[in-house]
Amino acid sequence: MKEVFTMWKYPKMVSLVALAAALYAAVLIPFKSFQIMPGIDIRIGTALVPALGIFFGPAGAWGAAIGNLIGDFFGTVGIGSIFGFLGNFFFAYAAYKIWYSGKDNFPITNTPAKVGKYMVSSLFGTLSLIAILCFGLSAIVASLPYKVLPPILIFTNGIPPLVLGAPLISLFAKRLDKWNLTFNNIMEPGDFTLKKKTNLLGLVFVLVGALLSIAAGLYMGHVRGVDVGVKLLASSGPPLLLYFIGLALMGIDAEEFRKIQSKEEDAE
Amino acid sequence: MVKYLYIYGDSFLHKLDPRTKIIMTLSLFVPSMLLKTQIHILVIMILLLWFLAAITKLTPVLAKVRLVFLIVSLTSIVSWTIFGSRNELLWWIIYKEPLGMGVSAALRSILAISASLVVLLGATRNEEIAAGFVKLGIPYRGAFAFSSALRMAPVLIGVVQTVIAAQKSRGLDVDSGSFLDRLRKYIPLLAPAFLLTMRQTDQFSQAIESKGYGYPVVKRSSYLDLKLKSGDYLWIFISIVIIVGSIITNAYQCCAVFTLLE
Repeated sequence: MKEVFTMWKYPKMVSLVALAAALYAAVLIPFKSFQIMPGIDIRIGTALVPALGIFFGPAGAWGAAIGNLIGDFFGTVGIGSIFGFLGNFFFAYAAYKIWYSGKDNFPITNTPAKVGKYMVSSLFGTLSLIAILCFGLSAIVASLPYKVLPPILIFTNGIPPLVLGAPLISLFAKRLDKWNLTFNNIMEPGDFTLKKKTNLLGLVFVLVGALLSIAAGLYMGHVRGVDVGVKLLASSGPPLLLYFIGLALMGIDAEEFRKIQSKEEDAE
Repeated sequence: MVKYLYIYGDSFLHKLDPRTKIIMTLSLFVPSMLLKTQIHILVIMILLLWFLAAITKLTPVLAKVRLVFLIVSLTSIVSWTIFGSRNELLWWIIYKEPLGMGVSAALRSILAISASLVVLLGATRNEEIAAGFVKLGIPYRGAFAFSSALRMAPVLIGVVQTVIAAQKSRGLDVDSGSFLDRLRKYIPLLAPAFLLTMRQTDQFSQAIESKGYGYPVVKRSSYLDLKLKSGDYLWIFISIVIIVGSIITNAYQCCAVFTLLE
């Protein structure tokens, strides 16, 4: 996960963080009114989050996190904003990690296989958001009962990226690559944890960790009647450790950079 | 739609060091996290905060989010009443514990939102918030990205609204059709907003590089020279008292009006 820190030495990556954050906040606020039922609205802006991760890597993840915090600054900032920050960071970061953990990673969704790959990346991102946000809002802050949140979050934050994300990536991919704005055009391979043999194991840990955390919280609420407190914390918290270990076990393919560099040499 | 929250003024809150205001805000987040069963303490704290807003002429910032208060309160109370664990029946389908948790969650959210709006966002300019974060030890580059995004967000909201108006004037109707059809109609709104923003990246990075961003500077100078005064120390002391008091109250469950079902 070292790219999360090494990216800050590149002015272009810092610019991408600021612009991605401002864009996400700016889209979240005016598009808050797409209601599916009274009081529950679809967050159209979340369609951008996996795309930000896939295009801009760690800068997209920081951008999504800061953007969500700024969105909260326009009226709803509170203790839950900390978990909103973390949840959105890993929403984009998990999508980026999943997308780049295998082969054929150019960020475009022009074939059914690539659309499928995007769907999987986006679902992993959504699961990350749900696991972290529900743990924070219910087990720590006790804002809402745990069992209420996952079904709502699947609708409000999970559907927009699934429906809108693939077409958006397809529309932007070649242009952003031409403008040299994707992260692998800006950063060096040495800035990343490169691909390891543990990628598949990491993927399994991420999936199992996030699902177990959510399942444990739902079980405590529905079956044991526990909505707050230490028991909920102790059941939905530890699987998140497995999730983070999984992310740390995954690396990016160095081939991605070699392709970009050879493309630049050809252009010269 | 709320685009700007800062209110110009010369109250004592405006004059406090941004670090003090960040610490005060965070200190008020502690009771909003810990005091789950002490409803009357939460009410007193909210009323004190609103009184502070009144004497510093910051009530308009609270008025801007009154609808948020209403929605947060209704969502919390209804969700807890319907889905919360229950034990002691009060009346019909209303049980004491979930009702208590609902009211408590609503009050804790109102306290946190009021604290951040009155103490920090209403009385502190964006660049002061960023300078305060840097002085508190947040890495400069992160604070810079945050403050730049905070400054750009209202401008980009304007851009997004222009895109919406332009596409609607061309006949885009986002309010008709099935759920998926309506959702897909947002692509012509998101795509121009995304590209209009990302086109600025090169200019933005060149601008910050021209101001020496890429150079490894040991200590950066700043236009804002922040210094803590005696008033700041008093409010930091009050903040520490709030944090310690909340921890003790929570540990001994003093003044609890209902029991948490754990």
